[in-house]
Amino acid sequence: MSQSAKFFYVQVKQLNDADAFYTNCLGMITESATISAKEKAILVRVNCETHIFLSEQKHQNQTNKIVLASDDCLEDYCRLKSRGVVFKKSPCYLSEGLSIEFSDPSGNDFIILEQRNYNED
Amino acid sequence: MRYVKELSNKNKIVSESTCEAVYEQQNDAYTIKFVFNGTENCEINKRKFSIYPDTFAVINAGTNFCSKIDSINPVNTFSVSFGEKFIKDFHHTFSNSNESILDGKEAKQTPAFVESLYPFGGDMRFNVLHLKNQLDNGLKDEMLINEYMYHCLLNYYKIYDKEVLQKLDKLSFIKTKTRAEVLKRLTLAKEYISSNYNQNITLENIAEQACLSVNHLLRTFKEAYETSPYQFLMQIRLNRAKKLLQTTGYPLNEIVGLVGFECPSSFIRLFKHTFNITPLKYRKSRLN
Repeated sequence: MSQSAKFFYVQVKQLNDADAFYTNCLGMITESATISAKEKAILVRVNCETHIFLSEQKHQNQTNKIVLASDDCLEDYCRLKSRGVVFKKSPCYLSEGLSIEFSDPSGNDFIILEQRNYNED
Repeated sequence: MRYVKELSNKNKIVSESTCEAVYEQQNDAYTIKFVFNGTENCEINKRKFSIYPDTFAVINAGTNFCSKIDSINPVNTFSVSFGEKFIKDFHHTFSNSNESILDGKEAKQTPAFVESLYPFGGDMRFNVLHLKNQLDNGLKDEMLINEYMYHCLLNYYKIYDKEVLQKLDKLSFIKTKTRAEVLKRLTLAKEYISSNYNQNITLENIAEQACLSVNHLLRTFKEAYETSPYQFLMQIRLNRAKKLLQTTGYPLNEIVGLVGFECPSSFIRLFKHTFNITPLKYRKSRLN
């Protein structure tokens, strides 16, 4: 997986469960963070350019749909499947390329997209 | 350099880079053959054709198959063969509705592919290149290799639908058998053009190879492929010239000759008319 968008702010039901999912199932690096004195958060480093802020509180700029770019969607699909990620359906061919979809335990939707330029020589 | 990867479900992948090779065998499994650079000359059931990097060939299990590589530069070939159960299961899943799959009946039917050349592009190219890169880097994970192979078949079935089934529908013959026979002969014509694009071939040559009269060839070819045999030949020559401009340092005059054009100026004119760029500007743009 590599970068797509840069920062995602995502609401989760429980930080501990989310931390376990992002670390164990997705294999991402997480670290504790604080948004304010009262509010704890988790920073997920997807890669050097993409980060996800997980918080239990609701914020205005949060999203529940995260698109991550991939160099090889089938490789990511098999790797994540073997780590226990349940996909909504099998890899799907779109006009932009190949994609897979799954949700985290809080119901946030993840799309991994391998963009393919079909007009390239 | 050659490596063979055989999986526990009898799926098999062979990758080879060689300047000289001759193989003569009965193909024991459904096989898709690719060439990444250069040409592999093949013969199946006394039919000769050449696989170029923009095409791939499909060969059924049980077909007598010969292939020959004779080149100054190494030719990189890659073939994927599917175990009988794997392909039966795939065919069963692809061809039947969800209800009949859930009936739990065993997949018995084996597919019979139209053994021919197909265009190698789109998702098929992306997936096969990923598979090749992974294997070149030592991939051992059978689950992932099988996933690539499953998608390779999925992509092929889509190509087959476009190149065979949809073309059959375009032919105006009433009888299904006639349509199938005419398309078979048109496939021979396409194969001949693709394999001899750099020769001085005439419509009479193509018609003879396809066992059709010239008039019949012209009419049915246009009906099925929405282009004439001549336009199809020109498109192949131009696309392969484009590839040579991109991947080699050959002078333009040499490329013109290699792809079967006699006159450089008519090649340049046609290239510019088709791609909106001159060959040399195209080469420069690719270098940048």
